[in-house]
Amino acid sequence: MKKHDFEISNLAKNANEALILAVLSRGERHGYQIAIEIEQESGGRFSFNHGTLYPILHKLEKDSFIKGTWKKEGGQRKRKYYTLTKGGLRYLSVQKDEWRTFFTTMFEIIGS
Amino acid sequence: MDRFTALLNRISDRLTLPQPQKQRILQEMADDLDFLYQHYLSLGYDEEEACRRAEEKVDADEDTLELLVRLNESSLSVFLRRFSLKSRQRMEIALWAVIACMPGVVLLSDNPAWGADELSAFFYPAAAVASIAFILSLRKIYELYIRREHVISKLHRFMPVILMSGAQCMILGFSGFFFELRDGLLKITLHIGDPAPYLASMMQKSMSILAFCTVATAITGLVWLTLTMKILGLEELEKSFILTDKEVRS
Repeated sequence: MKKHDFEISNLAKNANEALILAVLSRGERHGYQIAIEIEQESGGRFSFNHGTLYPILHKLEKDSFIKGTWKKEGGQRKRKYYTLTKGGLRYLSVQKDEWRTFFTTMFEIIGS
Repeated sequence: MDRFTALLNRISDRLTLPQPQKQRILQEMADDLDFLYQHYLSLGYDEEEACRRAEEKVDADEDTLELLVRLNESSLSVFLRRFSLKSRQRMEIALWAVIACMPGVVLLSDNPAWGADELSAFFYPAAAVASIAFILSLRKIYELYIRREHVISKLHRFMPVILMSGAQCMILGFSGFFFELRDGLLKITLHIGDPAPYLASMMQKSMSILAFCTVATAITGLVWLTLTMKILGLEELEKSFILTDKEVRS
């Protein structure tokens, strides 16, 4: 990730990506299973409504940070599971560093 | 799953993507709707509330769907969308003019009429594949330009087959060219005496199959590109119609 990607105007995008990648770093999940996990762990603070999860997932997949695989589940039913790629793991690590720097700088200014 | 059919149909109408991509997105959404419904039921909500909450999570607004379309469309569509609809219509007319001229140029060029024994064995499968592309192209032209009863979900039907036929024709052309070269050189090497007739036959067979397949592939490719531009334009018109319709209704 380039330095300039992590800007105030991109905070929401970066936060969503970091949250999704962090959940996927624990193992494969399918679409709204990721969202529900984030919602439950954050006590409802972070939620994905109105289909906003799909563009983020598809963008991460297009950038090869995650990989979507269709798996058969009971009979003819198929479900798309996402897994983190090596590139995704590196991206998550960069995201963590950026967030750490962001909050440190933020608290230096506003006072902890 | 039936309880979400109306929502999925509404989303499907606004996803201006080729059917396979659209199908995958809708299947993912349908699966999530079902998962969320079960999840909210397990939290103690009644069926109606669980259904409402699941729909609230998945039902995407126009901007989200637009983003989803952009992320899932092909590189060619992304490239073509850089041009305005009017520019693309002009390009479409220019491409049809080029396509119409190509058979004329071939017919007017000084090509001798070859007999069956002067043609490569690869000519017949190549001609069969080119015929499939030709027939399907005619059918698509009829559907898109003459009948004009556009069903969005069927706009891309036969398009991959047309493209694949063109590619297959090219593969047959190159295979035939190298096969005839090898065959001719073998005959010349093994033959004692004047090699001229074998050389002439080799050149005739190898060049004719390559020329035929190159022209067929070029025409098929151009027809596919022109039809794709038409389909893209129709999808955009359909989308603007749906959005306008929605605004009127709301």
